[in-house]
Amino acid sequence: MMDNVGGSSSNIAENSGIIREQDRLLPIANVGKIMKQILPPNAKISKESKETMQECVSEFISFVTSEASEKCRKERRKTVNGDDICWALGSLGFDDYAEPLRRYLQRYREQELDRANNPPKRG
Amino acid sequence: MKNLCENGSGPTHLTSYALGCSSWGTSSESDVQQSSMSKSLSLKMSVLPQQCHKTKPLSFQYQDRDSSSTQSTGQSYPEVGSAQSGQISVQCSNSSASSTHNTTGGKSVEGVIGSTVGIQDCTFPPSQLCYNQSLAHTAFHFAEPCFSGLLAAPFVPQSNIHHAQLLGMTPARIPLPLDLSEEPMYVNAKQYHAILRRRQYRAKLEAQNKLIKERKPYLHESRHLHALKRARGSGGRFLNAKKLQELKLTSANRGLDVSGCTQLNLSGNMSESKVQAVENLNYRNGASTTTCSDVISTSNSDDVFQQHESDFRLCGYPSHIGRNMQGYSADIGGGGGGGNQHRLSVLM
Repeated sequence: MMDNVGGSSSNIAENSGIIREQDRLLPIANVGKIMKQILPPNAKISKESKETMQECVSEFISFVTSEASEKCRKERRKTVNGDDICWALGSLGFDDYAEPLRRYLQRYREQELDRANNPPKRG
Repeated sequence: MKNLCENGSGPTHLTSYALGCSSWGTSSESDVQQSSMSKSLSLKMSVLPQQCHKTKPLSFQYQDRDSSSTQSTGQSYPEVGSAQSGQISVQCSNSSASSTHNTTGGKSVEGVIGSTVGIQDCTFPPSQLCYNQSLAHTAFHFAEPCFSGLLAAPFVPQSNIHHAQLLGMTPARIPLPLDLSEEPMYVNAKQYHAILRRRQYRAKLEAQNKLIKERKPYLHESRHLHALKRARGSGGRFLNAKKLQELKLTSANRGLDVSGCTQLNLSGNMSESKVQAVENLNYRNGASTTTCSDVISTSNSDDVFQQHESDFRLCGYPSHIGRNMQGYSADIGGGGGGGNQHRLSVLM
């Protein structure tokens, strides 16, 4: 779970409240790896493409989280959970993504229950 | 703390107006978390007092709109201000109700401002009904201001949107205010308020100088120095221990010319840090595996490069594709001016 930060998913640095680059954006190496998964194996991705995609996905995360956080603020809750994210995607018009994400969330919770019921044995 | 503030805003409009002023005054000093929350609270609460007080809150509203760079929303406010006194009295009584109704009233006012239509009698009862009922009706409530605006005020742009909806286009488009260009940008109606909220938040961050415009070439100095010391193979990629031994054996087997080329490569890496910085750029881009013409164009476009260094790069052109090592790719390389262009393109 992540706490409600007032409509933004970025943290605050210790010195004078300046939001650092690594706190506002996703790591560019991870963005490049995700982009490479969909491309053929011999394709190349320029640094400019990675930086542009880094900006886009970071802004999209803040966009959806801001909508979910607004809903939590109205209901006077402090924790943004997965259902709020699915609802936010639906309310913003991303219905095609909300339904697969809801199924993913359900499957994730089932795995968490299985892990809780059957703890791994220690030899 | 938040609950106390929200409960305190319920009783009277004067109290909520005072709380709005105090939270607005302290917003620049507190943290981003508190300031963004207090800003949203002040935006929610400041709408209702402005309905009651005619002259003074209008200027406050205009200053707020100018700072948040939403001009047409500020222009739509006089329509709300020019509403009938009966509507204003109804909204005053609504603000004097409990905090739940106060939140509902603020939301409906925001919806009305978003749809650029004056206040109507039919806006309050559907919002209360939607608030009392389940989430499905709440989702219907978000679509409610657009439909009520279409039905209530049938002038030319609304008629066009209504005609588009008659054709079967479910997602209606609302013109988004854009200061940079004269033509409005049409966006999804569901995303309108969220986009405005994000714009206000980004504008506040820029006002407080909390957005870092330039990208750092690396995050940690020690990792950067370690990456500079590492041995590099042909094309500038890092060598692991196994490949380093293989390279030594290969250079021992071959003649002096190949070993001389390798020594030139290593000494070139050790001597100048600028050359290595440019090599880091090339490595991060993956330009080390491009063709000869691309390498020449890269060296021509960059001011740091020189003629003999470009020859050196051609001498070190790789004949094989090494393993992709991204362990330190996040720490090496620089963004510079390109990041600014990317941010401009991202901002809507």
